[in-house]
Amino acid sequence: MNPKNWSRRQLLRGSGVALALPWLETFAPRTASAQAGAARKRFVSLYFPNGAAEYWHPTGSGTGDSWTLSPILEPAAPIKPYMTVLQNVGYPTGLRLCNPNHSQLCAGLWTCVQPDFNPAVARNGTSVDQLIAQAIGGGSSIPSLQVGCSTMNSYADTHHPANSRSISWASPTEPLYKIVNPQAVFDRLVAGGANMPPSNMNMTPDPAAVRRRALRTSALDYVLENATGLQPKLGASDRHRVDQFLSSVRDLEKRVQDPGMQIVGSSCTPRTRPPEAYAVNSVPATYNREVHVNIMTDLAVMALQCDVTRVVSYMLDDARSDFAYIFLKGRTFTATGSTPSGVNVTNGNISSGLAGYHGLQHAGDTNNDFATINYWLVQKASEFAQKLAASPEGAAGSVLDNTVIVFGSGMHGGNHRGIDIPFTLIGSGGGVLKKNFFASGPGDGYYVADIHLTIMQKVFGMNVTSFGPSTTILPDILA
Amino acid sequence: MKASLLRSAEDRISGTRFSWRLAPIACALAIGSVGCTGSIDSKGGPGGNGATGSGGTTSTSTTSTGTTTTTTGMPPMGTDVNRVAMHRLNNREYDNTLRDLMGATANAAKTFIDDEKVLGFDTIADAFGMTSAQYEQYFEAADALVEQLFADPMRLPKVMTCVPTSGTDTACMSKVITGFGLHAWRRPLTDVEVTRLVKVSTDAIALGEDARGGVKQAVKSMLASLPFLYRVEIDPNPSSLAPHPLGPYELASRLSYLVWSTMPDDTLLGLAKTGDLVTDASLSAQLDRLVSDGQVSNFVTSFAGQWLGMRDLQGHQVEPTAFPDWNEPLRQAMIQEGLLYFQEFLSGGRNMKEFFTADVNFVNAPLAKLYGIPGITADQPMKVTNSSDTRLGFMGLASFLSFSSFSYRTAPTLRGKWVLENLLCEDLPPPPNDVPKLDPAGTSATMAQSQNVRVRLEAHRSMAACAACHATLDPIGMGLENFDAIGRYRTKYANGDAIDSSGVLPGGATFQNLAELAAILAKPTDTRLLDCTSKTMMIYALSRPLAVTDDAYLAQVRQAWNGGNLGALLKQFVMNDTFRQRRGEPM
Repeated sequence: MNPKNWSRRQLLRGSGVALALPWLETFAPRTASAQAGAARKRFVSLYFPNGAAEYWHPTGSGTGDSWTLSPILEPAAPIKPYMTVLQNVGYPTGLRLCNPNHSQLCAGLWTCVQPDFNPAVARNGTSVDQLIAQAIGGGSSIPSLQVGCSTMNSYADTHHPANSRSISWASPTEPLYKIVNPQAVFDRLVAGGANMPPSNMNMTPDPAAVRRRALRTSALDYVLENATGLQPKLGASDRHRVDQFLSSVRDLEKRVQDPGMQIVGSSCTPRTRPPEAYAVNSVPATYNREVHVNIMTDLAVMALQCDVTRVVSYMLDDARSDFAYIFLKGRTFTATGSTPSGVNVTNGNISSGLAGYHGLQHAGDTNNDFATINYWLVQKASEFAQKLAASPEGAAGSVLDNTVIVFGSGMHGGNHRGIDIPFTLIGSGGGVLKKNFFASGPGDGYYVADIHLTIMQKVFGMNVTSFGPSTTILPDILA
Repeated sequence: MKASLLRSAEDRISGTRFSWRLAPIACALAIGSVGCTGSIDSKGGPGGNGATGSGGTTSTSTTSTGTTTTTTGMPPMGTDVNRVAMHRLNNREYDNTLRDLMGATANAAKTFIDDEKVLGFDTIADAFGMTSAQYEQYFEAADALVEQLFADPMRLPKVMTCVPTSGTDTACMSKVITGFGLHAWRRPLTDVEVTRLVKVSTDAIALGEDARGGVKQAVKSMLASLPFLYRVEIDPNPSSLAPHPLGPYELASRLSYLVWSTMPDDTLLGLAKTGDLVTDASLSAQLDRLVSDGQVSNFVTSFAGQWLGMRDLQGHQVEPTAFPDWNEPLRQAMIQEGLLYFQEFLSGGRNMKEFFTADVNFVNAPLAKLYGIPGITADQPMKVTNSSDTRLGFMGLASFLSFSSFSYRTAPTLRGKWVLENLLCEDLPPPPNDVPKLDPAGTSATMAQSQNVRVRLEAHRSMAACAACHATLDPIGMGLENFDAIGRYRTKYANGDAIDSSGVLPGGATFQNLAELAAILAKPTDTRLLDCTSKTMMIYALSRPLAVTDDAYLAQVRQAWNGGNLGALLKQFVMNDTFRQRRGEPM
C-alpha cells in the first residue's frame, strides 16, 4: 500500500489517533521515490524592471560562435553556452497596443493577459510559473517560492500594486507576494527541509519529532474545520477569501505531514541563517542592494539545489523601480563595449520629475546610467546561473542543465512599449531548448505567450494547449 | 500616495473605464430613476432612519464627481453603506494584538511578508489575500509565540487563568479557552466552539501532552485560526443588500483597529457585552477616550505615516557625499516632527485650515541644528511656535522637503507633484516618454547639489512640449527652493547663485516665497485641501475604496466638519452610517 494515498483524515478518523502515529512516520522518507525517474526540472522567472537601454541586443545570429554578446550582456559571457537571447519579442494583444505601462507589463509578462486597470482590485491571469508549479510543484516540499529584493514601494502606475510587485499569480485574483527578507526566506527553506545534515536523514523516527508533527497536524485540522464551518455564514466574496485561506492551510498541512526529507546529491550545501533582515521601508542605514541580491540569489540557489522547490520567481527589483542605484560605478557604453566612467550612477532625471532607476530609463535609451544598471542586473542574473551551473546533479549534469530561467523585462526601454522587450532563456530544461543561440523574431516578432507555452509543453510535458492569446508553440527555440 | 487614486492617461487613451469606484453596485442601489452620475435630489424630511450622528441641517453641496446632494442628517438617497471585506490583520495590527493579548513582543512587521498597500494605505481589506507563504508565517509565529508564553511565568497567568489538575480537568480548560477566546477572537465564543477547543486540548493529551500542554495546543490553534487572523463581520442574511447595524463586538473591533491598530480593550469589550457601544453617546465617548490615549500614536503613524509620506522618508535615500550632515538620528527626528505636526491637527486643537501656514515645529537637538534654532539640546522634541525664521506650515517641514527631493539635490517638480496629488487630490497626467535629462552625464552628486536647479529647469520649461505640464507641476516646488534636499534653509546655491523662490500658480496668483505661497494655498476659497483630507480619511476610516454611492456620505461629513480639527473629522466618519452599518452582497 502506498502511504501517499492515505489522507490524514482517514488516519485520524478512520484508524484513530493512536494508530495514526506509526503511519505518520512512514510518510517521512520519500527520498528514494523522489530520486527515481527522470531528472528533476526547474523553472525560474527572473525579472528586472524598466526595460533595457541601447546596446542590449547581440550581433550575428544562430548558435555558438556565430553570435556575440552585446555590451550590456557582456557579464553573461560565462553562461553564454547555456543561453538563448531573443530579439523582437513582444505581445500581440492589448499589452502591445494600449500604451502599456510598467505595472501591466510586469504582471503581464508572466500571464500574457492584460491586468485590470482598477487600482483597488488585483485581477490578472494565472502566471506561467504557477501553471508549472501546479504540474510539478507537488514533487517538492514547497510548490513554488517567490522572492525579491525591493525594499521600497515604487509608484504603481495608478494600477493595483500587485501588478508591480508580484510576478507569480496562483489565479487571476491571487498574486503571490514575494519575500524580500532574507531571513524569512531562509526560515522557509529550512522548514522545507533544506540544510538538513545527512545524519538527520536516517529512517529512525525521533519520538519527539513524531509527536510534534502529530500536534501540528491536529492544530491544522482544527483550523481547517473552523474556517470551513464559518464559510456558509459569509457573503460570496468572503467565502472566496476563506477558500484562499483554506488552500494555504492545506499547503502547510501537506508539508507538515511530508516534510521534504530528500536532499539532492552533493550540491545541496547547508548554510547559516543570514544576518540580513530587511523589510519594505525598513532597512539599516548600511543597506546595500548588492548584498541583498547576493544573499537572495544564494538562497534561491539553495532552494533549487536542495529540491525544496522546483519553481522560483525572483524579482531583482519591482516594476517602475524608483530605487537609486547610486552605489554602482558608472560605465560609458559604445557599440563595442563599455568602460568605467569614474563617477557613480546618478539618481534620476529631474526634468521629468522621476527618481532613481525609472528616472534614468526616461532619460532615454542612450543614457549610460540606464545601461549601467542593466549591465549590473545582467551580471546578477549571470552569477545566479553560474551558481546553478556549478551545482552538479550526477549523470543529469548540473542543476542549470535541468532548469529554464526566463530572464527579462516586460517593456522595451525608454519608450515604454511592449514590443522588442529584453528577453532571454538560460538553461535548456534538460536539453529540450536550444543553447548558445540568438535570433530575432520575424515580422511582429516572437510572442511571449508562445514562448511560455513552448516551455510548458515541451520542457515540462504539460498538457496545455493555450496560454493567454497563444495556441502555438515556437519551434525556433527547441533543440 | 494619492497618485494611486488618479486616473491614468493610459486609461483615457485606451478608453477603458476607470472603475475603482464600485459603479455597478451604485446603479443597482440607486433609488427610483436616478442614474449613476445624475443629480440626486433628496427632499425627504427628517425622521426616516435617523441613525446617523451627523448634524441635522439641510444644505446642498457638490461632490468630487459633480453629484449634487442634499444633507438632511439622514442617509442620503441613492446611497449604500456598503461592506468591508473580511479583513486580515496587517503586520502592525498583528504585532499590537499579540502584545495586548499576551504580552508578546512579536515582530511580525519585520519578518512577515510586507503588507499590500492599496489606495495609499496598508489597511485596505480588499487588498489582503492569504498565500501559502503567509499562512506558514502565521502558523509558525503562533507556535513560537505560544511556546514563549508558556515558558514565561510572568506573562502566563494572564492567559492561564487556572491550572488544570489533570488531563481530564475540562472545566479549567473551558475557562482558559473562554477567557482567551473572548480577547483573541474579539467576541465571546459559542458553547460549541468552546467544546470543540476543549477537544483540541484532550486530543493533544491523547497524543502524549500533559494537561498544560493540552491547553497550550488550544491556545496555539486559536491563534492560527481564521477568527484571530481576520476581523470577521457577519451579515444576518449574507445575500441581503439591506443595511444592518454592526454587532457591538464588530463595532468595537472596527473602532479599536481604526484608532489603536489593535484589539478592543476590556472597556470596549464590556460596552460590547452590554450593547451600549452602539449608541451615539457611547460610541462618541469611546472614540474620545481612544483618541486621547497615548495609543492614538498608532493612528498617527499609520494614517499620517502613509498619507503624509513619513514612511517614505524611512526608506528615502540621501547621498552622503552631497549631504555630509545627513544621518539616522536626523532622519528619525524629521519623521517624528512630521507625525507630531499631524497630531497638532488631530488632537492639538489646531484647525486643518492652518495646515499650510501653522508656524509650529517640533525639534530636538539634531533638527534644531538643521533649522538653525538655538538653545535646543534635548533628544526629545520641543514644540517651537512663532519662530522668526521663514519656515512654516507642512511644506516647511524637513521631512516633507527631504522625501520629495532627489538623493543629491532638490527636485521642485517632485515637491509640487507630491503636494498636488497628496494634499490637494489633483489628477495629474504621467510624464511623456524619453524626457531629456537635466543633469549632464557624469555629473557627480556633489556637483549636482551645488548647481542652480531653477535655471536648468526653466530652460527645460521653455521647450513647448514641456511647458504645459510643468506650469502646473513646478510652481509650488519653486516656492520651496530656499530649502535644500534635506530641508535646510539657504539663500544661495552652492555655486553662488542667489535663490529665486518666486512663482506663478496656474490661475495667475504670484508669490515670492514660502510664506506667500502657503497663504495662497490656505485661502478659504480654495477648498481642495479640506476636500482631499476628507476623502483620504474616509478611505482610511472605512478601509475600503470609495464608491459613487459614498459621495453623498462624504459630502455630508465634509460639510458638517467644515475644516475644524482632524479629531472632529474622524468623529464624523465614526458616527456615520458607513462606519456603523454594513450589508450583505448578491450571491
